[in-house]
Amino acid sequence: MPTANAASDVVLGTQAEHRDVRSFERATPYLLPAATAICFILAWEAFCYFSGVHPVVLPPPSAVLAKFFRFFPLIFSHSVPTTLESLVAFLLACLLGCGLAAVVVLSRRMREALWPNLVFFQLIPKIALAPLFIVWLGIGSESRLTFALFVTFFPMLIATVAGLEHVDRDMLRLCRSVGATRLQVLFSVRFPSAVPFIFSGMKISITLAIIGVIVGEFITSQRGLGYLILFASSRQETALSMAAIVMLCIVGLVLYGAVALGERIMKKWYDG
Amino acid sequence: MGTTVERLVADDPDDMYVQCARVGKVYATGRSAVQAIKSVDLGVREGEFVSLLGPSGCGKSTLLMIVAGLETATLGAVTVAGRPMDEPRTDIGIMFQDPTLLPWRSILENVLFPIRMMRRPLPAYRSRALELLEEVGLKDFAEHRPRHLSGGMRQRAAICRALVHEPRLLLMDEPFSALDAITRDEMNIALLRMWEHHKITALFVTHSIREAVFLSDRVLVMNGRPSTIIADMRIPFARPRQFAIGDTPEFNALCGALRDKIGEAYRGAGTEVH
Ligand SMILES: Nc1ncnc2c1ncn2[C@@H]1O[C@H](COP(=O)(O)OP(=O)(O)O)[C@@H](O)[C@H]1O
Ligand SMILES: [Mg+2]
Repeated sequence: MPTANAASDVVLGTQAEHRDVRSFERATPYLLPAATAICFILAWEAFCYFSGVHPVVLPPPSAVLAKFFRFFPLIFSHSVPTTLESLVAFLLACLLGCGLAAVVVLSRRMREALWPNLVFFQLIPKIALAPLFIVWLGIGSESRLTFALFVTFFPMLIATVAGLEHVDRDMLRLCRSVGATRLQVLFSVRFPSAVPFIFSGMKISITLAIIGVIVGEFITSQRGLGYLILFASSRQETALSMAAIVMLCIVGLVLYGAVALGERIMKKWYDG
Repeated sequence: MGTTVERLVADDPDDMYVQCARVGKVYATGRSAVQAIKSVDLGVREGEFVSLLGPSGCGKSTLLMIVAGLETATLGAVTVAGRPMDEPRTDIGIMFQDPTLLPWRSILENVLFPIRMMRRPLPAYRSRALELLEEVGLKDFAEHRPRHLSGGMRQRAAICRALVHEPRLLLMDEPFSALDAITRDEMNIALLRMWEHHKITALFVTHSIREAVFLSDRVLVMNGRPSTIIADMRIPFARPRQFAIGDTPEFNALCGALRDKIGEAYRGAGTEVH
């Protein structure tokens, strides 16, 4: 077949050509989203420039960037409490999620008592509870942390329970046949095999922790990126507000990246 | 009943290492109940290799789990080594269809897993674990993770894990049925070597007629709905056994006789043989 020959001629080019094709293929997952984002930002810039929209309504990306660098010390100082509170809420959610999951998996009675209530609880739109937390805990960071923990822990719980129960039935039989206690099974078998599940839960929880803290800052705080965003918006400083959002994205990326890195390290340990 | 079949119950029950007397099992699942085993009498002598042969769903696993003390019989009684079997005991080793090794632990750590669960001192068993691994040709893989081993190698590690705490009875539930035919033959040879060397009693569940005949001193056929043991056939080949016996007319005759037994039971139950 002549067409097949022609095709194989193209495929069997020089080594250099091969390498080019391969490195391009490898780069597209990074190049394409980056190019898309750049196109979007350019279109936004062009829209602001040509439409004459008021910068309070929609500042151009260049103005946002300028604000970001000009007010970087301010923005950075506000990002510190937001980051720390998100982290603390996340870590508490991990502890609480894993602890409660262990209780639910260890004891059938506890499971029967708790699980339906937990699921019902999860159905409450938790944002609606934020004002109550102020009533109960005041406007300090306890209030924001508790609220963020509230938003964050459920995915952690669900993922951990799924992981703890994922253990092979025959593995559990083996454990019973050699007289392993429930706690031994929990710590030697269930938790280690749940680790990949726990990391999936953590990836969801870390983003929810940030959301929880920001919502908390919207309604209570005098500090933090949530506060800065609200403050700047109320002063019609839309560009500064957006610059704070840029910082928030960076915080989110760093925190999520840390969890993803942890997951990679864990995979090495898990699979060897 | 055919002429090659001898009834087991006539033997002296005190002679038996594993003794099941009128064992029955009903699973209660919600509103309905499944009768998995109607009534089973069986005995395994000390040091004997006995296979339980039967089609899927006839209650082989259930019976094995009852012997292991992992399920309770709803009828009858099981004794192992003269003591009633009402809870799991450490003089028993088990193997399942899947090796169920822990992926985050090395092969050696996996083999030592039962010792850890029994809260016995690990160092005391380390050399035994390494010897077992050497016997199945896995010594060089002791520090590897299960992921780096083939299916057959993993199942060999599972044999070592089942034997590490020096059990006197080895219970196996279709341990090789997930392996390809060639690996399976190798595993059969490896298992027989281990069984001969360690002088243990073995109860082996399978749905492969040839595997049962190749491995066993006796093959018990389980069938019917709900099931009982319908045949008990002695396999007279000398030990140690070689692959070659699989080509002999005697071997094929035994397989044929067992196949007839299973078929008979199907027809008896009013079911077509597939
Ligand atoms: N835990 C269980 N609950 C309810 N029914 C079961 C359970 N385990 C097995 N059975 C039923 O008991 C019968 C025998 O099962 P099993 O012992 O696994 O057979 P085999 O190992 O010979 O394939 C099957 O009909 C199966 O559906
Ligand atoms: Mg089975």
